[in-house]
Amino acid sequence: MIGGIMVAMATFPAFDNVYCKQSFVYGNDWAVLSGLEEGITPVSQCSTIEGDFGRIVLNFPLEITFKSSSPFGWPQLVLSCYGTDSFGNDVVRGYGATHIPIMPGQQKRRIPMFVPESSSSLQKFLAWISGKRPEFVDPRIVAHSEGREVTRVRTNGYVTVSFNIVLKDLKKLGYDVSPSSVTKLSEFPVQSFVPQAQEDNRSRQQPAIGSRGNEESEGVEEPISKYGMPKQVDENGEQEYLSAPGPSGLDQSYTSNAFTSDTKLETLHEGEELE
Amino acid sequence: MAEVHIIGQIEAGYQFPDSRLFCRWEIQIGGGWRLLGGVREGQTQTDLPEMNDVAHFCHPIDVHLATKTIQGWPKIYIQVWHYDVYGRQELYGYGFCHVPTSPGEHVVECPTWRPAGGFREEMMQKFVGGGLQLRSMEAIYNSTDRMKLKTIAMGTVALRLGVILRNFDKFGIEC
Repeated sequence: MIGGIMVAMATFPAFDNVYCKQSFVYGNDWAVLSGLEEGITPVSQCSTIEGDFGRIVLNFPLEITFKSSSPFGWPQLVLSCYGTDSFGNDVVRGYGATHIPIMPGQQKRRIPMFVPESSSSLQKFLAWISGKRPEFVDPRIVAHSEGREVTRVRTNGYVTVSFNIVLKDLKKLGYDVSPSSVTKLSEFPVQSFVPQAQEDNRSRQQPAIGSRGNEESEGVEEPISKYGMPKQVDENGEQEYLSAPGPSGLDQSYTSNAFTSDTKLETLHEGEELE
Repeated sequence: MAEVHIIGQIEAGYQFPDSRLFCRWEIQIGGGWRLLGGVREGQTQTDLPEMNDVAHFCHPIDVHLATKTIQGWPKIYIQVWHYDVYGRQELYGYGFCHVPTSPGEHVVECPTWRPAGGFREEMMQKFVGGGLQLRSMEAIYNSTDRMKLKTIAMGTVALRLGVILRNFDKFGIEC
Protein backbone atom coordinates (compact mmCIF):
# COMPACT_ATOMS: atom_id res chain seq x y z
CA MET A 1 0.00 0.00 0.00
CA ILE A 2 1.33 3.41 -0.90
CA GLY A 3 -0.02 6.57 0.59
CA GLY A 4 0.64 10.20 -0.13
CA ILE A 5 -0.84 12.25 2.67
CA MET A 6 -1.07 15.96 3.10
CA VAL A 7 -1.96 17.60 6.38
CA ALA A 8 -3.77 20.51 4.88
CA MET A 9 -5.43 22.80 7.29
CA ALA A 10 -6.38 23.27 10.91
CA THR A 11 -9.14 25.15 12.66
CA PHE A 12 -8.87 25.89 16.33
CA PRO A 13 -11.41 28.58 17.21
CA ALA A 14 -9.78 29.40 20.54
CA PHE A 15 -6.14 29.47 19.48
CA ASP A 16 -4.17 31.41 16.92
CA ASN A 17 -1.02 29.36 16.51
CA VAL A 18 -0.40 25.67 16.23
CA TYR A 19 2.16 23.16 15.14
CA CYS A 20 1.45 19.56 14.52
CA LYS A 21 3.31 16.28 14.96
CA GLN A 22 2.42 13.24 12.92
CA SER A 23 3.12 9.61 13.52
CA PHE A 24 1.74 6.27 12.45
CA VAL A 25 0.46 3.38 14.51
CA TYR A 26 0.13 -0.01 12.87
CA GLY A 27 -0.12 -3.70 13.69
CA ASN A 28 2.58 -6.32 13.98
CA ASP A 29 2.23 -7.57 10.45
CA TRP A 30 2.87 -4.17 9.02
CA ALA A 31 6.18 -2.64 8.06
CA VAL A 32 7.21 0.67 6.58
CA LEU A 33 8.94 0.24 3.25
CA SER A 34 9.82 3.84 2.59
CA GLY A 35 9.03 7.30 3.84
CA LEU A 36 9.30 9.04 7.16
CA GLU A 37 7.16 7.80 10.00
CA GLU A 38 7.15 11.08 11.87
CA GLY A 39 7.02 14.70 10.96
CA ILE A 40 6.61 18.10 12.57
CA THR A 41 5.04 21.07 10.86
CA PRO A 42 6.30 24.62 11.37
CA VAL A 43 4.53 26.80 13.92
CA SER A 44 1.69 28.28 11.95
CA GLN A 45 -0.28 31.43 12.69
CA CYS A 46 -3.90 31.73 11.70
CA SER A 47 -4.93 33.94 8.84
CA THR A 48 -6.01 37.50 9.57
CA ILE A 49 -8.02 37.97 6.42
CA GLU A 50 -11.56 39.06 7.15
CA GLY A 51 -14.16 36.38 6.69
CA ASP A 52 -11.52 33.71 6.84
CA PHE A 53 -10.43 34.22 10.40
CA GLY A 54 -9.04 31.36 12.41
CA ARG A 55 -7.89 29.23 9.51
CA ILE A 56 -4.42 27.83 10.14
CA VAL A 57 -2.62 26.51 7.11
CA LEU A 58 -0.27 23.63 7.73
CA ASN A 59 0.12 22.33 4.18
CA PHE A 60 2.54 19.64 5.20
CA PRO A 61 3.46 16.68 3.00
CA LEU A 62 3.78 13.12 4.21
CA GLU A 63 4.58 10.23 1.97
CA ILE A 64 4.79 6.71 3.21
CA THR A 65 4.66 3.16 1.92
CA PHE A 66 3.55 0.21 4.01
CA LYS A 67 3.52 -3.48 3.38
CA SER A 68 1.68 -6.25 5.14
CA SER A 69 0.34 -9.74 4.71
CA SER A 70 -2.95 -9.01 6.43
CA PRO A 71 -5.16 -5.93 6.74
CA PHE A 72 -5.44 -6.50 10.47
CA GLY A 73 -3.66 -3.65 12.24
CA TRP A 74 -4.31 -1.26 9.37
CA PRO A 75 -2.16 1.86 9.92
CA GLN A 76 -3.56 4.90 11.61
CA LEU A 77 -2.36 8.47 11.33
CA VAL A 78 -1.93 10.02 14.76
CA LEU A 79 -1.76 13.78 15.02
CA SER A 80 -0.82 15.78 18.07
CA CYS A 81 -0.98 19.54 17.95
CA TYR A 82 0.86 21.94 20.20
CA GLY A 83 0.94 25.70 20.50
CA THR A 84 2.15 28.48 22.75
CA ASP A 85 -0.30 29.98 25.22
CA SER A 86 -0.41 33.60 26.40
CA PHE A 87 2.37 32.99 28.95
CA GLY A 88 4.65 31.59 26.29
CA ASN A 89 4.36 28.00 27.48
CA ASP A 90 4.35 25.21 24.96
CA VAL A 91 1.07 23.42 25.61
CA VAL A 92 -0.86 20.68 23.91
CA ARG A 93 -3.78 21.76 21.70
CA GLY A 94 -5.14 18.43 20.69
CA TYR A 95 -4.70 14.80 19.83
CA GLY A 96 -6.44 13.00 17.04
CA ALA A 97 -6.27 9.84 15.00
CA THR A 98 -7.80 8.29 11.96
CA HIS A 99 -7.40 5.11 9.98
CA ILE A 100 -5.75 5.57 6.65
CA PRO A 101 -8.52 5.04 4.07
CA ILE A 102 -8.87 1.42 3.02
CA MET A 103 -9.94 2.29 -0.49
CA PRO A 104 -7.64 3.60 -3.19
CA GLY A 105 -8.23 7.12 -4.36
CA GLN A 106 -8.37 10.62 -2.99
CA GLN A 107 -10.11 11.35 0.25
CA LYS A 108 -10.39 14.26 2.62
CA ARG A 109 -10.93 13.74 6.34
CA ARG A 110 -11.64 16.18 9.11
CA ILE A 111 -10.02 14.85 12.25
CA PRO A 112 -11.33 16.14 15.57
CA MET A 113 -8.57 17.23 17.95
CA PHE A 114 -9.10 16.80 21.66
CA VAL A 115 -7.13 17.35 24.85
CA PRO A 116 -7.41 15.41 28.09
CA GLU A 117 -9.30 17.22 30.83
CA SER A 118 -8.08 17.84 34.36
CA SER A 119 -9.86 15.62 36.82
CA SER A 120 -10.90 18.44 39.16
CA SER A 121 -11.40 22.19 38.97
CA LEU A 122 -8.50 22.78 41.37
CA GLN A 123 -6.18 20.88 39.10
CA LYS A 124 -7.59 22.76 36.16
CA PHE A 125 -6.69 26.05 37.83
CA LEU A 126 -3.23 24.84 38.79
CA ALA A 127 -2.66 23.62 35.26
CA TRP A 128 -3.64 27.02 33.89
CA ILE A 129 -1.34 28.84 36.33
CA SER A 130 1.67 26.58 35.91
CA GLY A 131 1.26 26.02 32.19
CA LYS A 132 1.47 22.27 32.72
CA ARG A 133 -1.74 21.02 31.15
CA PRO A 134 -2.67 17.38 31.27
CA GLU A 135 -1.12 15.47 28.40
CA PHE A 136 -0.98 11.91 27.22
CA VAL A 137 2.39 10.37 28.02
CA ASP A 138 2.23 8.59 24.69
CA PRO A 139 0.01 10.21 22.04
CA ARG A 140 -0.39 6.81 20.44
CA ILE A 141 -3.04 5.91 22.99
CA VAL A 142 -5.56 7.70 20.80
CA ALA A 143 -5.06 5.02 18.19
CA HIS A 144 -5.85 2.20 20.60
CA SER A 145 -9.23 1.02 21.68
CA GLU A 146 -8.22 -0.39 25.06
CA GLY A 147 -7.96 1.87 28.04
CA ARG A 148 -9.82 4.72 26.43
CA GLU A 149 -12.70 4.64 28.91
CA VAL A 150 -10.60 6.29 31.60
CA THR A 151 -9.92 9.40 29.54
CA ARG A 152 -12.09 12.49 29.61
CA VAL A 153 -11.39 14.91 26.84
CA ARG A 154 -12.46 18.24 25.39
CA THR A 155 -12.61 18.76 21.66
CA ASN A 156 -10.82 21.93 20.63
CA GLY A 157 -10.65 21.97 16.89
CA TYR A 158 -10.18 20.08 13.68
CA VAL A 159 -7.37 19.22 11.34
CA THR A 160 -8.18 18.49 7.73
CA VAL A 161 -6.07 15.85 6.08
CA SER A 162 -6.21 14.75 2.48
CA PHE A 163 -5.16 11.26 1.57
CA ASN A 164 -4.11 9.82 -1.76
CA ILE A 165 -4.03 6.08 -1.49
CA VAL A 166 -2.66 3.49 -3.84
CA LEU A 167 -3.10 -0.19 -3.06
CA LYS A 168 -1.25 -3.07 -4.60
CA ASP A 169 -1.96 -6.78 -4.92
CA LEU A 170 -4.91 -6.92 -2.55
CA LYS A 171 -7.04 -8.79 -5.03
CA LYS A 172 -4.14 -11.10 -5.74
CA LEU A 173 -4.15 -12.12 -2.10
CA GLY A 174 -7.90 -12.56 -2.14
CA TYR A 175 -8.96 -9.30 -0.54
CA ASP A 176 -11.76 -7.13 -1.82
CA VAL A 177 -11.91 -3.47 -0.92
CA SER A 178 -14.52 -2.36 -3.42
CA PRO A 179 -17.77 -3.97 -4.57
CA SER A 180 -16.66 -4.03 -8.20
CA SER A 181 -13.84 -6.46 -7.56
CA VAL A 182 -15.93 -9.14 -5.82
CA THR A 183 -17.19 -10.55 -9.09
CA LYS A 184 -13.64 -11.15 -10.25
CA LEU A 185 -12.22 -14.44 -9.04
CA SER A 186 -8.85 -14.28 -7.33
CA GLU A 187 -6.35 -17.05 -7.69
CA PHE A 188 -5.29 -17.09 -4.07
CA PRO A 189 -6.31 -20.36 -2.39
CA VAL A 190 -8.81 -20.31 0.44
CA GLN A 191 -7.31 -20.69 3.89
CA SER A 192 -9.01 -22.95 6.36
CA PHE A 193 -8.86 -22.08 10.00
CA VAL A 194 -8.57 -25.19 12.12
CA PRO A 195 -10.38 -25.30 15.46
CA GLN A 196 -8.61 -23.56 18.30
CA ALA A 197 -7.39 -26.70 20.10
CA GLN A 198 -5.53 -28.03 17.10
CA GLU A 199 -4.23 -24.61 16.34
CA ASP A 200 -2.75 -24.36 19.81
CA ASN A 201 -1.06 -27.71 19.48
CA ARG A 202 0.53 -26.75 16.26
CA SER A 203 1.78 -23.45 17.56
CA ARG A 204 3.32 -25.16 20.54
CA GLN A 205 5.37 -27.31 18.31
CA GLN A 206 6.40 -24.34 16.33
CA PRO A 207 9.00 -22.69 18.58
CA ALA A 208 10.74 -26.03 18.85
CA ILE A 209 10.97 -26.53 15.13
CA GLY A 210 11.28 -22.96 13.91
CA SER A 211 14.59 -21.19 14.19
CA ARG A 212 15.05 -18.27 16.53
CA GLY A 213 15.26 -16.04 13.51
CA ASN A 214 11.50 -15.91 13.69
CA GLU A 215 11.61 -14.11 17.00
CA GLU A 216 13.85 -11.36 15.78
CA SER A 217 11.44 -10.33 13.13
CA GLU A 218 8.37 -10.28 15.36
CA GLY A 219 8.57 -8.73 18.75
CA VAL A 220 5.33 -10.30 19.91
CA GLU A 221 6.59 -13.78 19.97
CA GLU A 222 9.54 -13.13 22.16
CA PRO A 223 8.12 -13.36 25.67
CA ILE A 224 6.12 -16.40 24.77
CA SER A 225 8.96 -18.44 23.47
CA LYS A 226 10.94 -17.58 26.55
CA TYR A 227 8.30 -19.37 28.56
CA GLY A 228 7.99 -22.32 26.33
CA MET A 229 11.60 -23.12 25.59
CA PRO A 230 11.63 -26.72 24.48
CA LYS A 231 14.27 -27.85 26.97
CA GLN A 232 12.34 -26.92 30.04
CA VAL A 233 9.20 -28.33 28.62
CA ASP A 234 10.77 -31.72 28.21
CA GLU A 235 12.10 -31.88 31.74
CA ASN A 236 9.19 -30.59 33.66
CA GLY A 237 6.28 -31.83 31.69
CA GLU A 238 4.25 -29.90 29.19
CA GLN A 239 1.40 -28.83 31.35
CA GLU A 240 3.15 -26.52 33.71
CA TYR A 241 5.08 -24.45 31.25
CA LEU A 242 2.66 -24.38 28.44
CA SER A 243 -0.22 -23.25 30.57
CA ALA A 244 1.87 -20.41 31.90
CA PRO A 245 1.58 -18.02 28.95
CA GLY A 246 -2.18 -18.19 29.27
CA PRO A 247 -3.98 -15.78 27.00
CA SER A 248 -0.83 -14.80 25.18
CA GLY A 249 -0.54 -18.35 23.95
CA LEU A 250 -3.63 -17.68 21.96
CA ASP A 251 -2.05 -14.57 20.51
CA GLN A 252 0.83 -16.52 19.29
CA SER A 253 -1.28 -19.12 17.68
CA TYR A 254 -2.92 -16.52 15.59
CA THR A 255 0.25 -14.72 14.64
CA SER A 256 1.95 -17.88 13.63
CA ASN A 257 -0.91 -19.59 11.89
CA ALA A 258 -3.56 -17.32 10.62
CA PHE A 259 -1.49 -14.49 9.46
CA THR A 260 2.26 -14.49 8.98
CA SER A 261 4.38 -14.57 5.98
CA ASP A 262 3.82 -16.27 2.71
CA THR A 263 6.04 -19.21 3.50
CA LYS A 264 3.76 -20.21 6.31
CA LEU A 265 0.72 -19.85 4.12
CA GLU A 266 2.25 -22.09 1.54
CA THR A 267 2.90 -24.88 3.99
CA LEU A 268 -0.65 -24.60 5.15
CA HIS A 269 -1.98 -25.02 1.68
CA GLU A 270 0.17 -27.88 0.68
CA GLY A 271 -0.57 -29.85 3.78
CA GLU A 272 -4.24 -29.17 4.05
CA GLU A 273 -7.33 -29.71 2.13
CA LEU A 274 -8.81 -26.57 0.73
CA GLU A 275 -12.34 -25.67 1.51
CA MET B 1 -13.28 -19.88 5.21
CA ALA B 2 -14.15 -16.43 4.11
CA GLU B 3 -12.79 -13.55 6.08
CA VAL B 4 -14.10 -10.13 6.96
CA HIS B 5 -12.06 -7.24 8.24
CA ILE B 6 -13.87 -4.38 9.89
CA ILE B 7 -11.63 -1.36 10.13
CA GLY B 8 -12.99 1.97 11.21
CA GLN B 9 -13.88 4.39 13.88
CA ILE B 10 -16.73 5.39 16.12
CA GLU B 11 -16.57 9.02 15.16
CA ALA B 12 -19.12 11.17 16.88
CA GLY B 13 -22.44 11.50 18.64
CA TYR B 14 -24.80 14.36 17.93
CA GLN B 15 -28.37 15.61 18.38
CA PHE B 16 -28.41 14.45 21.96
CA PRO B 17 -29.98 16.70 24.63
CA ASP B 18 -26.51 17.26 26.02
CA SER B 19 -23.23 16.40 24.38
CA ARG B 20 -21.09 15.26 27.29
CA LEU B 21 -21.14 11.69 26.15
CA PHE B 22 -19.39 8.39 25.99
CA CYS B 23 -20.28 5.10 24.30
CA ARG B 24 -20.09 1.46 25.10
CA TRP B 25 -20.00 -0.72 22.04
CA GLU B 26 -19.92 -4.36 21.09
CA ILE B 27 -19.76 -6.27 17.84
CA GLN B 28 -22.32 -9.05 17.83
CA ILE B 29 -21.63 -12.02 15.58
CA GLY B 30 -23.63 -15.13 14.74
CA GLY B 31 -22.83 -18.76 15.45
CA GLY B 32 -20.79 -19.56 12.34
CA TRP B 33 -18.44 -16.66 12.89
CA ARG B 34 -15.12 -16.57 14.66
CA LEU B 35 -13.05 -13.72 15.95
CA LEU B 36 -9.46 -14.10 14.76
CA GLY B 37 -8.04 -10.84 15.97
CA GLY B 38 -8.89 -7.54 17.55
CA VAL B 39 -11.25 -6.52 20.31
CA ARG B 40 -14.97 -6.98 19.98
CA GLU B 41 -16.16 -4.61 22.66
CA GLY B 42 -15.07 -1.55 24.50
CA GLN B 43 -15.83 1.86 25.83
CA THR B 44 -14.91 5.15 24.25
CA GLN B 45 -13.49 8.22 25.85
CA THR B 46 -15.79 10.78 27.42
CA ASP B 47 -15.94 13.94 25.37
CA LEU B 48 -16.91 17.20 27.02
CA PRO B 49 -17.10 19.49 23.99
CA GLU B 50 -17.21 23.23 24.34
CA MET B 51 -16.96 24.14 20.70
CA ASN B 52 -20.22 22.75 19.39
CA ASP B 53 -22.86 20.11 20.13
CA VAL B 54 -20.96 17.16 18.73
CA ALA B 55 -19.18 14.69 20.99
CA HIS B 56 -16.16 13.18 19.25
CA PHE B 57 -15.16 9.68 20.28
CA CYS B 58 -12.40 8.97 17.78
CA HIS B 59 -12.47 5.35 18.83
CA PRO B 60 -10.74 2.85 16.54
CA ILE B 61 -12.25 -0.50 15.62
CA ASP B 62 -10.11 -3.15 13.96
CA VAL B 63 -11.56 -6.63 13.91
CA HIS B 64 -10.69 -9.73 11.91
CA LEU B 65 -13.47 -12.29 11.55
CA ALA B 66 -13.66 -15.62 9.80
CA THR B 67 -16.92 -17.16 8.76
CA LYS B 68 -18.49 -20.19 7.16
CA THR B 69 -21.84 -18.56 6.65
CA ILE B 70 -23.33 -15.19 5.89
CA GLN B 71 -26.06 -15.66 8.46
CA GLY B 72 -25.46 -13.69 11.60
CA TRP B 73 -23.62 -10.93 9.78
CA PRO B 74 -21.87 -8.73 12.35
CA LYS B 75 -23.86 -6.00 14.05
CA ILE B 76 -22.51 -3.25 16.19
CA TYR B 77 -24.57 -2.25 19.11
CA ILE B 78 -24.03 0.90 21.01
CA GLN B 79 -25.07 2.34 24.32
CA VAL B 80 -24.65 6.06 24.73
CA TRP B 81 -24.13 7.37 28.22
CA HIS B 82 -24.28 10.88 29.49
CA TYR B 83 -21.65 12.20 31.88
CA ASP B 84 -23.30 15.07 33.73
CA VAL B 85 -21.72 18.08 35.44
CA TYR B 86 -21.75 16.32 38.80
CA GLY B 87 -19.82 13.38 37.37
CA ARG B 88 -22.80 11.04 37.34
CA GLN B 89 -23.54 8.74 34.44
CA GLU B 90 -26.96 8.13 32.99
CA LEU B 91 -28.17 6.23 30.00
CA TYR B 92 -28.87 8.32 26.93
CA GLY B 93 -29.60 5.78 24.28
CA TYR B 94 -29.38 2.35 22.75
CA GLY B 95 -28.86 1.63 19.12
CA PHE B 96 -27.51 -0.92 16.72
CA CYS B 97 -26.41 -0.99 13.12
CA HIS B 98 -25.39 -3.70 10.72
CA VAL B 99 -21.86 -3.71 9.47
CA PRO B 100 -22.23 -2.95 5.74
CA THR B 101 -22.09 -6.09 3.60
CA SER B 102 -20.38 -4.48 0.65
CA PRO B 103 -16.64 -3.95 0.79
CA GLY B 104 -15.35 -0.43 0.90
CA GLU B 105 -15.70 2.51 3.18
CA HIS B 106 -19.03 3.52 4.65
CA VAL B 107 -20.27 6.20 6.97
CA VAL B 108 -22.93 4.52 9.06
CA GLU B 109 -25.37 6.51 11.11
CA CYS B 110 -26.82 4.71 14.05
CA PRO B 111 -29.95 6.35 15.46
CA THR B 112 -30.53 5.71 19.14
CA TRP B 113 -33.49 5.50 21.47
CA ARG B 114 -34.06 5.15 25.16
CA PRO B 115 -36.84 3.40 27.02
CA ALA B 116 -39.59 5.79 28.11
CA GLY B 117 -41.14 5.58 31.51
CA GLY B 118 -44.40 6.87 32.89
CA PHE B 119 -45.01 10.43 34.07
CA ARG B 120 -43.28 9.78 37.40
CA GLU B 121 -40.14 8.32 35.86
CA GLU B 122 -39.85 11.07 33.29
CA MET B 123 -40.16 13.76 35.96
CA MET B 124 -37.62 11.94 38.10
CA GLN B 125 -35.19 11.82 35.20
CA LYS B 126 -35.71 15.47 34.38
CA PHE B 127 -35.05 16.78 37.86
CA VAL B 128 -32.97 14.11 39.59
CA GLY B 129 -31.25 12.30 36.76
CA GLY B 130 -30.95 8.60 36.12
CA GLY B 131 -33.76 7.01 34.22
CA LEU B 132 -34.84 3.66 32.92
CA GLN B 133 -32.43 1.09 31.52
CA LEU B 134 -32.90 -2.25 29.86
CA ARG B 135 -32.23 -5.22 32.05
CA SER B 136 -30.91 -7.33 29.20
CA MET B 137 -29.20 -5.93 26.15
CA GLU B 138 -30.80 -8.50 23.88
CA ALA B 139 -33.72 -6.19 23.17
CA ILE B 140 -31.35 -3.84 21.37
CA TYR B 141 -30.51 -6.21 18.55
CA ASN B 142 -33.28 -8.79 18.72
CA SER B 143 -36.51 -8.20 16.90
CA THR B 144 -38.65 -10.23 19.31
CA ASP B 145 -39.99 -8.63 22.48
CA ARG B 146 -39.49 -5.18 21.06
CA MET B 147 -43.21 -4.40 20.81
CA LYS B 148 -43.56 -4.29 24.57
CA LEU B 149 -41.24 -1.30 24.83
CA LYS B 150 -42.14 2.35 24.75
CA THR B 151 -39.26 4.46 23.55
CA ILE B 152 -38.16 8.04 23.01
CA ALA B 153 -35.90 9.18 20.18
CA MET B 154 -32.42 10.30 21.12
CA GLY B 155 -29.45 11.38 19.02
CA THR B 156 -27.34 9.71 16.39
CA VAL B 157 -23.94 8.07 16.54
CA ALA B 158 -21.82 8.23 13.40
CA LEU B 159 -19.40 5.45 12.55
CA ARG B 160 -16.97 5.20 9.72
CA LEU B 161 -16.53 1.56 8.82
CA GLY B 162 -14.20 0.12 6.25
CA VAL B 163 -15.06 -3.42 5.23
CA ILE B 164 -12.53 -5.69 3.55
CA LEU B 165 -13.74 -9.10 2.43
CA ARG B 166 -11.63 -12.05 1.53
CA ASN B 167 -12.52 -15.15 -0.48
CA PHE B 168 -16.19 -14.29 -0.80
CA ASP B 169 -15.74 -14.57 -4.54
CA LYS B 170 -14.78 -18.22 -4.16
CA PHE B 171 -18.13 -19.09 -2.67
CA GLY B 172 -20.12 -17.21 -5.24
CA ILE B 173 -21.33 -14.59 -2.81
CA GLU B 174 -21.92 -11.14 -4.19
CA CYS B 175 -21.90 -8.28 -1.76
